[in-house]
Amino acid sequence: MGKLIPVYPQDVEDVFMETDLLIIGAGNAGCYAAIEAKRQNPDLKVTLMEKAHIDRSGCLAGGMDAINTYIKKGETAESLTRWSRDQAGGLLREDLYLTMAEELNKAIEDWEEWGLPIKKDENGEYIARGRWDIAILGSEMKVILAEKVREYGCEILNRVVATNFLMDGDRVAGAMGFHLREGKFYIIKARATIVATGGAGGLYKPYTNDGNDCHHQIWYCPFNVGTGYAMGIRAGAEMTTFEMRWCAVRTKDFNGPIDTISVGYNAAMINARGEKILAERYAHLGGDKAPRFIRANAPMEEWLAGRGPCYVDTTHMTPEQIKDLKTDYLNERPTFVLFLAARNQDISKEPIEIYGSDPYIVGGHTASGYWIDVKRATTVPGLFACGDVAGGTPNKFVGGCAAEGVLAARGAVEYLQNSGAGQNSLNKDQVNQEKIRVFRPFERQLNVGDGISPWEMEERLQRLMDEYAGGVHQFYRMNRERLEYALKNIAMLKDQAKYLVAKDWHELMKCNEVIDMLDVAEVLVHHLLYREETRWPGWQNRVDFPERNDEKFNCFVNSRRDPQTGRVEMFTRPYEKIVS
Amino acid sequence: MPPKVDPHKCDGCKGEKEAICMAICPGDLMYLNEDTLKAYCRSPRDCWDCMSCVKACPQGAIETRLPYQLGYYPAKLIPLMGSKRVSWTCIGQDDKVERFSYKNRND
Amino acid sequence: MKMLAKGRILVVGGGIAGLTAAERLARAGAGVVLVEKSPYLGGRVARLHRYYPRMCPPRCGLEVLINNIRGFPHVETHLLTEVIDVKKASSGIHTVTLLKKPRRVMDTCTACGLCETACPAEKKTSFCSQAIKAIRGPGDWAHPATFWVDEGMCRGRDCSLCVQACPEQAVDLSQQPEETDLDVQGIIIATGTELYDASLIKEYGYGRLPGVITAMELESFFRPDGPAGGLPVHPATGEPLRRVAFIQCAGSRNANHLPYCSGYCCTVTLKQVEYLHQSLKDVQTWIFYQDIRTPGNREEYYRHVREEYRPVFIRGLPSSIKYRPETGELTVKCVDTLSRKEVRGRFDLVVLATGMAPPALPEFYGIERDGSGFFSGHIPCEPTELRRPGIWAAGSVQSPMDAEESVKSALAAVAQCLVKLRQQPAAFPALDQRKCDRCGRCVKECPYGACIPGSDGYPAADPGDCRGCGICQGGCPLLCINLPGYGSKKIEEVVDKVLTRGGPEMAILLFLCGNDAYPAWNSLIKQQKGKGLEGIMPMVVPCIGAVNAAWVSEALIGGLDGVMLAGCRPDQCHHAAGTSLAATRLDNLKETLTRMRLEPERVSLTQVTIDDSLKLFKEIQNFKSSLEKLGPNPFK
Repeated sequence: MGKLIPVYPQDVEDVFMETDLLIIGAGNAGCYAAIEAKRQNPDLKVTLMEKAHIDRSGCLAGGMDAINTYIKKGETAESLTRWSRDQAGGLLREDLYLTMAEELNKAIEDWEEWGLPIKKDENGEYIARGRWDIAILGSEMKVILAEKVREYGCEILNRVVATNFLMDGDRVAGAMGFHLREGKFYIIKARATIVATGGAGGLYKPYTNDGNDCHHQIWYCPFNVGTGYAMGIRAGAEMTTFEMRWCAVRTKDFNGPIDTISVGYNAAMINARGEKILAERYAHLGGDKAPRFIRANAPMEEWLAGRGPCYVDTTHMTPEQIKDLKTDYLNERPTFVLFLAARNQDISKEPIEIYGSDPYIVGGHTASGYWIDVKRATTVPGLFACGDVAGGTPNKFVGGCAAEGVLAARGAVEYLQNSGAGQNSLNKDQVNQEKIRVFRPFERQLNVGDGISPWEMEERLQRLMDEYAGGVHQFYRMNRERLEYALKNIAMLKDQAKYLVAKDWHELMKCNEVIDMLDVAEVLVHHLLYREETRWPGWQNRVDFPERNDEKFNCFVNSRRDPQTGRVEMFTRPYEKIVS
Repeated sequence: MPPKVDPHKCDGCKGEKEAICMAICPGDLMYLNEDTLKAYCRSPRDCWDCMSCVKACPQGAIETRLPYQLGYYPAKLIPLMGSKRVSWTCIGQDDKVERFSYKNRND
Repeated sequence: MKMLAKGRILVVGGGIAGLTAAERLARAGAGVVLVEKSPYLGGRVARLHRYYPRMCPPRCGLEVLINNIRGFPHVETHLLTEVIDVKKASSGIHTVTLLKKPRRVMDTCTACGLCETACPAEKKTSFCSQAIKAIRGPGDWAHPATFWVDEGMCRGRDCSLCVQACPEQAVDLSQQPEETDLDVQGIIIATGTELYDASLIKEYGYGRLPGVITAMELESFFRPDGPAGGLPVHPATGEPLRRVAFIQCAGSRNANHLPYCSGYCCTVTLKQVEYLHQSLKDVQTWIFYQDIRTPGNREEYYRHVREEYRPVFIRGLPSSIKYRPETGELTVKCVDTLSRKEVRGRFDLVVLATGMAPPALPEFYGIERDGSGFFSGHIPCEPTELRRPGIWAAGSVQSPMDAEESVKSALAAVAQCLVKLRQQPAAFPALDQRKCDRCGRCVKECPYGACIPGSDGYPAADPGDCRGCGICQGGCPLLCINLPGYGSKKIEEVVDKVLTRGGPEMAILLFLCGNDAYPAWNSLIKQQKGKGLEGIMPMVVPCIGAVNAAWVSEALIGGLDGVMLAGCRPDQCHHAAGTSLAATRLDNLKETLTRMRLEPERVSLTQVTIDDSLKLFKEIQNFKSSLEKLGPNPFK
């Protein structure tokens, strides 16, 4: 099968479909939502729209080595919520977190029953890897989940790239997108819609991005570019806490996870002098138990202070532990093992170097995303959200995203029962406008044959965000003037998006992804501007407001872009404490 | 990190539909050459090295290579999938071989 | 009439094999559609003077068949009709497209011949044949006794002299070709073969030298419609034939021509020697030969002709034939390999005993040819069924053969066809739709075309066509096809057992093809009583092609020391592609193992026949000793 060539929008065949429940994104959260919807009502037609392939799409493509939120004996939903609140600098939606916590264990146990191997001790108990973590052998966990989705009889549309919601007045009534293989435009009407497209990687220039074949050497799944956020932003959905970015300590150059090492094998972070960074410099904030944003920022602070490079100290590990550690990586980011071999590095003699990652917007780790209620309904009727795209629930991770999928499905099924949302006639103008928007890079290719490649524009955005909106090269620091510069330039890039060209359908997807990234970046910079304090130093570091300001900002910063004017409106929502 | 396809082993999955690597790549990066019907990575810079294609290739025709920017020595990491287990062989400098094998499915 | 066998069978070819098949099927109650591309039934046999072994005239046998066929209301016959396409329509059903060319003469024709006399378009096809007209009749014996218009020669409606000449108004030059589609439950291909083109044997000068003819042309000399109206005279001079040479193996058993022996030509020559001596007192016959091949009871006939008519046998094939225009004689030069002397003979006729060339059959529906280019089934188990279930071959399309063998082959095809029409569905592979990606490999690799993608894209085994070989299971990259009683679970159990047991003992998984290797293994364990077979875990599969490479990997990465596959020889594989597919899969795996620094010698594919238990034992011992040298599997 060859590449599909550019065509004019009017020549693209339309495919109309109708369904009861449309789930956009067949990653972990989307798959759990699909299964739960079918469990709630097997007669519902459930359709998944996925731009990749359900077997290997989303963050779990390469697999996972641990479930980081499992409530073990002696712990409760409340204790987990309390821990998460501490990690998140005191700001999280406790209503959301508690309801999610109630579902966590069941979701994981289901996965195990379906075939996911979870490590157990001789008593049959899950092997703990820290207070909330359990170790799994998850290289095939996504495949296992996909098989279950098929078994439940869900309709799966692989390689269909969602571009916008289908609107029926103020209500979301499905979605539109194009099929990468068929070269057709899909218009899917749905009585309820769940968005589960994941977070946004690639908004910032990664420091690993220095030439050939390294562009996607990032921690987060680079194919999650924030399309779900962008679609919501364009539809006027309320977003929350984008400014709480996820910047993590990762293995240097490779950008691989380090909790695997530091939590799993008790390996401390050390600086160039061999000092245990957390124990020696952050004892006042809890040492090894300091909040994530402190831990995440600590090695970078050491660099700035002239005490870099920093490491996680693996030199105490036994050969068995090293083998286990490598097995963990093989189940999550297998090439880290290759990376060590390619550096001829024996980690029992030489510690693993660490560094900060490029920033990501990812609701599974921080609180960024759609503003939702406990039913996981967004502020736009008919639209529900779960997983990394849903906000307010930091530290939900893989297990929490699965549990949230279950909750979103329940919310959507309840909505279907109560609202009796019917299928109205389709607004043809909306479809035609969307086709013109989506296929504009083809029109330019056909009419002009020259313009801006999506990769060029992506790299321009990434450098802009890195330098002016607190990227890794700036040690995550920013101030008002730089953020305003960023906004001004994002506006120029948005205006220039009309010059994007695509030579085939894959490039068309890339162009639309870049357009989505611009929309997400714009809202993100507004959030960063609005929070005039420094609440999470590693994640959001306002040089012009270096202190935490609880009086003014112990609340959620939310935004809504007006679909008519395109103006981004910023406002706050109060934090409500439920768990003592 | 580009996946390298061994053209002698790749058989384009024989089918008329997509080859397996093409079907499953989360980044839509694997394609079949229209003339040779062999798979190739269309945009090596965009690969996330998840190794889905390497594991799924029924011919064992794909290898993940590290770009020089990341690793200095030509190491290899070769997965071999059974029906319920997976093995990994990592070959480093001086032919140092590390092997891993374990169940990855329980059903 | 009560239909005993359901369905409708297409028989392609109206020669002796096709007629036999059609007639027997009709007698068994099956609906039959018989198509023949020429204007007449009877094929090559109808053009003979007599055919052995009983030296019957062609009407004997053929006439009975044709009359019977005409009597059955459930047989349709279409002449001047060819099959131009065959498609699998659904389970057990093929849709065939027939192209019927116009005869341009209607059934009211009385074969009076006035049209032929009037026809101005005339052509002579070879030096020994009578000139033919564009509209012509059936000759001495053929069915139906109706004239036809040869499109290639006819001058068309502008001429129309035949139309005017016909007293019955039976000529209609406006008839046009028609295409029709037909659904059938089975197809018997009995299209026969062409004889080898004698003009390709340059040294014999066929087509260039007057007096050099083929055996088939000599047959016509004895027929009333022959060059001299049935008199065995020289076609050029009209003189009775005096000296006739036969050259055997003309274009046969020769790497530059047909490499094989067609088997019938020697008997044909003996038959024609007898014709000549019976009708001409003073004729001399010489036979140049390599070996006279008259197997079975034909040896008796050979002895009879040799002793009765005393032809001259020269063991050697002529190196040249020279023609003298002044005398009309042909000089044949040959080294007699018995006396090692050069022999020269002068003849007024030289007859080339040519063999049968591979059939020129359209390549529809992926039917594969054998090494010689014929359409043979699996001999001896399924001798007529081709590797497209529901399609059988009968007659010389299968391999070179004479009338007697053609009839036998047609009867075999009929038997297989009737079995198929009544057979119960066999156990066939199950698909796990949760895992299937619809990649289509099973569809491509199924040797029977029995794996068909449905409208939803998922493959399904046609219960009528699937033979349960499991090749689909062996090739499935996602392990989602399972043959009942086989599958991944069994392998995993073995691996788990070895892992639980632990210890340094050698553990080898041995896959055995159920056709040959397994019976051989059974004899072996009886002979050896387990001695020398320690550590071998045998596992039977229906065909070695049913072994999935992931099973072999599962065993190796689970710590088993080696995996051996014992299958049939590729040319003996009951499912044709099984052994070669297994070899390709193992070669791929071995390359990966080499990269993994795991010795490729840990996997082995061996080929055994059913009585090869000793060979199997030796192979196992060799495998074990090579594994001992390698040491334990590092994954252990």
